[in-house]
Amino acid sequence: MTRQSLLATLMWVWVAAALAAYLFQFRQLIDAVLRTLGLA
Amino acid sequence: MTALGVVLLEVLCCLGLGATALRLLRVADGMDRDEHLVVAFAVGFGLLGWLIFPLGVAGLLAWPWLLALLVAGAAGSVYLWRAGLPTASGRPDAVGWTLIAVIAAVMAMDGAEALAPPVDADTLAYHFNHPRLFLEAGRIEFILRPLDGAIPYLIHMTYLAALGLGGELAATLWTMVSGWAVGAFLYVLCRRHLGRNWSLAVTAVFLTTPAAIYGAGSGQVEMRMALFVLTAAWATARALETGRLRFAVLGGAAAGFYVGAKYLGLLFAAGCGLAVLVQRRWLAHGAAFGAALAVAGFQWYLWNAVHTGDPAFPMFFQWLGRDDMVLWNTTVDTAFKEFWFPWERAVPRSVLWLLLYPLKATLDPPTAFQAGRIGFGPYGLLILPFAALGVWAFRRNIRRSPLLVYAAVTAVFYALWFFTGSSQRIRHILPVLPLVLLCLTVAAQRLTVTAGGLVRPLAVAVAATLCLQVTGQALFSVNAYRYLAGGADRAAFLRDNVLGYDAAVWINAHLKPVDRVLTSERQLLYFLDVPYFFATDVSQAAIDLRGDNTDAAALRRQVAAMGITHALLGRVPTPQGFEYSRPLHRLWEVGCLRVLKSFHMRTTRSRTLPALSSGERTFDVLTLGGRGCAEG
Repeated sequence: MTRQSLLATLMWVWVAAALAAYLFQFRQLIDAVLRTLGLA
Repeated sequence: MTALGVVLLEVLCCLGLGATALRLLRVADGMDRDEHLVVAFAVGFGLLGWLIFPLGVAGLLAWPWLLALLVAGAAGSVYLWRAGLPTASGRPDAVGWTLIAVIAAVMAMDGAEALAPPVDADTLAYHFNHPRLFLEAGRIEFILRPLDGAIPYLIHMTYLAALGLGGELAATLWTMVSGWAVGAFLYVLCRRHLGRNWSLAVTAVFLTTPAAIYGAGSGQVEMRMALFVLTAAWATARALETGRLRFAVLGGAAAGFYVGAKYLGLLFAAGCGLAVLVQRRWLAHGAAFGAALAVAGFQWYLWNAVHTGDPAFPMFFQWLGRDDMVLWNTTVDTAFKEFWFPWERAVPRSVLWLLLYPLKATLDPPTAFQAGRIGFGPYGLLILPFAALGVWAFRRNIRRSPLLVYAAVTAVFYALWFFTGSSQRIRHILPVLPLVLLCLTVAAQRLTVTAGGLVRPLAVAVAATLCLQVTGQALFSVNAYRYLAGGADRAAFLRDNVLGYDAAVWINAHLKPVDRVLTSERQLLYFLDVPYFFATDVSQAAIDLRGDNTDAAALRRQVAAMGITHALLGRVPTPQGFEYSRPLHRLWEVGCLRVLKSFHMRTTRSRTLPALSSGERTFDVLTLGGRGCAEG
């Protein structure tokens, strides 16, 4: 694995993890959206 | 149609005033046309607010004067004609068209929101309410109240012009247009450092930032203050780059407009001023910057000083305040500061928390930050490592870039705000967010030029941010669309979205202009047509509403002295039944307050998502008088 591809992999992991961490705080809100839309 | 015409005239007025100022300062020469347009609007926006102040103090807040001012200002638009260098053009590619479509959708949602009546509590308490009161009085009147009364009103003066000439609809449309102006300015500034697609992406990210969605369409001033921040930062960077004094004057004026719009502008002016001073021509530029800053920003501080002794009321009241005022004294001043500061600061003011605040605000914000549903979104967090590596990779080029000035001004403002500010609400630093987004994105984008494999994860970070934020805005707009689809029933909309609205309607129908209502329901002030006195335990000194006060006789005297005839009070449920706020409950117990009418209503934690949680609340309209008031 080259240095560039390792860096790219790390960045993918960062983006995914940061997005998941950000969304985690809105679990109640997401639940409320789903209930409002009748999907939960 | 009148509202739309007024807003168009006000836009032309801002452009005209700004273009005239730029011509007088002779700073337009090096600008391209787009740059000239956005800087002219921002400067004109500040000038319009500045010019209405003397009209208001002179008692000339009537439509002929306001119209004359707008028409005279609009005449300056002739200076926009052919000014500036040609702007680079060319057709956008598929990504560009997609981003333009996203921005168009966002603008359409903003439009729906602007067509609905205002429902934000701060807007109803003062952003729109105080301009309304000034218009009714025909002059600017001093409102002795901390946080939302005795404050700088430069931006509110632009609301006043819209409200006075085109009514409420013009005011809501004006907030929409002035919010868009920030997006336009950011795009133009981005184009100096980024390609079209990246510039469009940054603009879309900013316009859909939850704090921007919340603030732009309401009367909140932070979004619009970004116009002054962008102008000041741009002009300061130009002053350092060219060595020309005229840019320092422009930077000082823009920082001064921010000072005239909110106390926090003082901190931004300090940050910008520091940047001006760190150069060879520091003395001349510093003097020019300071003089322009003082002229642009002094008005409301002088106004406050004349009325209270404290130019930044109530910050320095304990040292500078007058001691002969009925509504404010050192006792309530101390109580206010003991209550307010701990309430508004959720994390200690330390270097560690200075660094951790953005992370905490993004991932786990305490209530005091107001950063959950109306925070800054995930973009900064997602692109942070890209930007950090970009800064490291291009560290040798940074010293010559205006981005260093933007970053320095932002960093100094942020540090001053964190260590000296009274509140840790994230939206108070929204005005510098465009500069942050610009700097981070340029650094991240530069990194992808050297490491091609990073383009995709960065593009995904941008796309994910936009997906989340546009979805958030769509949800936020649902209420407005429901309003428009349901035949624009104003009363029904307000009943659903403003707690206690029915009580205000009842009061207007049953009370007379000689009555005066005591209330602490700030979201209803905009709707009350009868005189009122807004009072909480720490907002005034005339009626002692502190929880430990049970002296009914003294309360009766204080209430009578303020000419109170009625009260609008919310019930607080208790195991025994209910109570009003403690001292007023005592008046009710002794029979001095009698319920005239009760209103039961549903409360929600979120207007956008009623399913989030809800409850019941009861408001009572009470009358003063009878045996209980006569005794003692």
